[in-house]
Formats: sequence, structure tokens, C-alpha cells
Amino acid sequence: MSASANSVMARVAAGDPSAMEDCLTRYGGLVWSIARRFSPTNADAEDAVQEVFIEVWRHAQRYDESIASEPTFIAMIARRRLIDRQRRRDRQPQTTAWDESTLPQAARDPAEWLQVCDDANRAREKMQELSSEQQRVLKLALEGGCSQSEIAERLQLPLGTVKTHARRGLIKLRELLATGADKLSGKGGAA
Amino acid sequence: MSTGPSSHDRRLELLAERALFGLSMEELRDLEFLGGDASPVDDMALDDMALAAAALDLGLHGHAMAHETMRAHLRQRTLDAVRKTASEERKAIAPIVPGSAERRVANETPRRDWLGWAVAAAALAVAAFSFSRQPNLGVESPFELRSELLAAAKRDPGSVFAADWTKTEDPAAEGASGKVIWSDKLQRGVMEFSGLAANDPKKNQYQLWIFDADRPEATPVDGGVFDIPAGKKDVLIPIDARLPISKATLFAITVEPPGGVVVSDRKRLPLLAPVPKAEDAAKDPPPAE
Repeated sequence: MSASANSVMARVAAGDPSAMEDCLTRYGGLVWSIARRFSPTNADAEDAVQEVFIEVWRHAQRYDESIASEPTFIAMIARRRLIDRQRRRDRQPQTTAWDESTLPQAARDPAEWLQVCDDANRAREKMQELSSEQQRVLKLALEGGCSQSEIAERLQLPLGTVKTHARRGLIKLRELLATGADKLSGKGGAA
Repeated sequence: MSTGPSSHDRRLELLAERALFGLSMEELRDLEFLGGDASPVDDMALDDMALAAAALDLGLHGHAMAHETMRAHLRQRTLDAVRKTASEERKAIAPIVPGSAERRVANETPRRDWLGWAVAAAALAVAAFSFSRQPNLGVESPFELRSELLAAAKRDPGSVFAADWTKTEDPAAEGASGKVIWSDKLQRGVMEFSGLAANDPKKNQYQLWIFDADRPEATPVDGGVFDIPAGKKDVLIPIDARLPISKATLFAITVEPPGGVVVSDRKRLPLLAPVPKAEDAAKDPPPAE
């Protein structure tokens, strides 16, 4: 673990009693937003949010600020948990089971974490260097809730082509991010 | 097993697939077999492919996400859930060697041919076992055993390790987590389970298998059969290895008929726990009590 002493992850890892509250304050909206994209109902999304933050608590000591920003680390945990849940549901499509009364209110100002997502900004920039097909597939893949078959259908591409674009696109992006960058430099392979 | 470029490329493809869509059980096994510098079977292993996907996700959707807030009731529920988990784990799962379980032996244990171990030869090693026993270490309770292991870890760093369970797609493992704590030196260990499905002992029982570096992979050592009682979320089970273990490399839980079996057909394999490298365990001093 390597993180500034005042980072939320460092405080969670150190067992600071108030750290998880701060973590939820700072990243609750982020995790909720990802959970909504991947979940068919608000109840499912709420369950997922709880699972994600339990995982964040369990794995806080693995956070290394030299590898990724805190929002990216949190998003990685959230995405992995939600993809697992989605696979368990056999990729049910997103439904209309959302109760509008439970939808979150939009915040007037963006969350502070957006300002520290330098790796996210770089990823968006580097994406422009991918082929247009790779970009289209990755955008749909990252929206959540879209299976490879559904992407193939939407883009009118063979399934195998979608798989190839998705895999190669992300592999290429990872290489681009590793070039001349401190974070996401490839040294994050070892947990 | 070739470790040339094609294996490397295949591994990258699987990591990319996992980061974007998740993996099927077959693909997960492929990834385990290919191994790598990040434990591919570790549910939360940090891999830069997953981080790249997360970064791009934030890059594409971050501005929209940053305007969403979590409702107060969900915030409180989540905080309560984390606190409850923390409290339960502090009570039920004392960390023997914090962090050591996170650096798993990705280059060694996941490569082990888990598919090939259950051949008839196993019967020779375990034929003399009793098939209707529960793990039993005399009058010592599992909690006392765990305390002993904790004390041993403090006295002799590296002599005791902890390895997290990795769940498969077996339905019994759906909500399961926990770890196995074992000492080759003491020949003793304990398994911690949280959320592993309760079994009906009249229909089936869980059985532990221990892979030993000094024994053929086809003949893992029987670690005993055990039950998970209904209504108990957290369960501590002592390990009852019936043969000496020279160097444990992998622990596996199968679901078997009552009493256990001599040779598992591996039809149900809910949990696996690859063992961390000895030097990794030694690097982490045991925590102060």
C-alpha cells in the first residue's frame, strides 16, 4: 500500500473510524452511478452499492496512489463487483423496474473526486488513438449492462469482431496509458 | 506448457475480457492456468487492465457521474453494512498475517493441474481414512486453535500463512468468503468461512483437500469432511490433515456424499485457496494483539 496519509483509502486501511463515512461522502455518488448502470432495479443497485463498499473496506490497503487515482481504484472495484453480479443474473437487460421516487437527486456541483481523475482524463484522450471501431465497441462495453451479443447487434458486427475490437482496444489503451505516465504504468499488475 | 507469446497474448485477452464483460468459468480456468504477475483468480487483484477500463469509464462518464449523489438512507445502510462486516470479521477472523494472502502464488499454484488430480491413485494415499468423521483436534476449540496459530505467527514470522478463498460458480459459494490459515511447521490449521451455503449432512458434506508440493497433484491429502450449519454465517473449522503436509500449495473444498470420498469427481468445487509464497508471508510480521 502506498498512499498519502490524508487520502481516504489510507485512512480506511489504517482503521480510522471516520474514514468510511468520508469515503461514502466522497465516492457514494460515483459508486451509486456505476451501480445504476449495471443494475436492473433500484433494489439491486442498492444491494450492489453495499457490496462494493464492503469490498472497498476490505481492500483499501491495496490502494497505491502511484498506480491509480482513488476514483479509478474505487471504480475498478465497483465495476468488477457489478460485472460479477451481472453475470450471475445471466445478463438480464436493464429493465424499467426503477422506482423514480428513489432515483438520486442531481448534485448542483460536481463531486470533488472529478478533479483528481487525471488518469481518467488521460484514458479519454488516449482513446482517440484507437481505431474508430474499437472506440465504438469500448464505449458500449463500458456503459454497462450491454453484453457482447447486444453490442454486436447494435453495431451490426459479427460477435467475433466485437470481441476482437473490445479486447484489442483495451489492451492497446493499456499500452498507451503505460507510455510516459506515472499512473497506470503497468506496475499495477502485482497486488 | 508453453509460456511463449501466444500464452501471453491469450492472457492479456482474458484480462481484457474480464475487465469489460467478466469471464465464464472455463475462461477463468484458462486464466488461472496461464497465470501471470497478478493473481488471476483473485477476485480483487489489482490488474492494470481493469484499472485501464475503470479509468476510461470515468473518462467517458465521469462528468455525469460526478453530479450524482447517494441518498441518505442508502448511505446509512451502506455504512451499517460495512460496520457490521468489520465487526463480524474482527470477531470471527483475526488476521494472522495481514496482506500475505493478497500476494498469491500466481506463477505456481494456479498452474497446478487441478483438473487432473482426482485419479484413482488418490485412493492409495487415503484408503485408510475414516469416512464418517468431522475434523477433530481433541478438546481444543477452533478458536483456541486459531489463537495458537496467531501466537505461532508472532513467535515465528513466516511459519503461518493465510490464504483467501476464491469462489467458483458453484451455487454453494455464491456469498462465500473467508480464508484458510495453515502452518506446515505445526501441521495445523483452521478454515474460516463466511456465507458458505449450509449443507444437509444427510445429503452431502463439504470436504477439504490439501495439495502438497511433495506429493503428486493427483493425490491431494484429505483434510476432513465438515458441515456448515444452517443459520450460521461465520463458521470456523479446524483442519484435520490425515497425512503429513510437507509444503501446502493449494486448498480445495468439494461437495461430496455424506462421510466424504476417497477420490473426488470434482463435480462440485465451491472454493479454492492458493497458498502465498513463503517469503511473502515472512515479510509481513504478525500483528500485535
